[in-house]
Amino acid sequence: MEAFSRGDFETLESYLADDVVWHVGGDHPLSGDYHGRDAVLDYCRKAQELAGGTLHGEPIEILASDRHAGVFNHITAERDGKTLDIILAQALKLDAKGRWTEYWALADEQGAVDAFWAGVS
Amino acid sequence: MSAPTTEHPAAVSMREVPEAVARGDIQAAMEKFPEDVIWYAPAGESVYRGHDGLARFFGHLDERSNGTWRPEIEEVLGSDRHVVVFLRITAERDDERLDVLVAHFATVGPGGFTRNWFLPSDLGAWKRFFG
Repeated sequence: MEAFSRGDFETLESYLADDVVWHVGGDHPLSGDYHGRDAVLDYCRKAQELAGGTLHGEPIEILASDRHAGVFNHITAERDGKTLDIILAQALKLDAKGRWTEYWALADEQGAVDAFWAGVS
Repeated sequence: MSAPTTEHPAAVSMREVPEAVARGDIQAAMEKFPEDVIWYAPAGESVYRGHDGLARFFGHLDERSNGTWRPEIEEVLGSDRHVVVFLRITAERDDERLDVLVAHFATVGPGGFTRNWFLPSDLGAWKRFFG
């Protein structure tokens, strides 16, 4: 999560399983399922680029085992005069090597997330 | 899955929610949440507030699944402030069958689990079944 915030996609890549599935919920142009490491990294780079590098997560707490992880993440970002300030619940499934095989998330204000990404292409 | 002996008290308490739901005792499950509970969901009303809201959420699942939906605990992770339970939820209706992993996140307050995020991993399958 820290690697994502600082745009260190090489480190992020090392945590992703080859066949990772990344679910982006909500109702906005980035919503959908991304399959495979390359597709996930492309999505992460695009999101950070669209936010001008301002997309930042400050984990409130991380609960993890060798099978699952849950992150309570305070997310902030700015884009085209819009600001995003939400608590995002992020869930992860892990493989035997601790790599992420599945990711999904839900914001406390999903409408704010949809509005923030509205209009991107 | 049985609880590990070292499980945090908040995790032990959360474990009782799906166990109560699985035996059909929604009232026992509701007692784990304060009157001003907030429940974020990716479908339906998006935000359900209070015991009435939570009853509507559970009621909708009952109605759409003809009472067949069942949560089974995969794992519960807890601390003094937060808890996350990973559930496998199954349901059946006519020839349709749902089998999806759900993560339920919650903040721990004096009156119970105050703010809750309910996240199906396969949202498409969830919406197709429950609307």
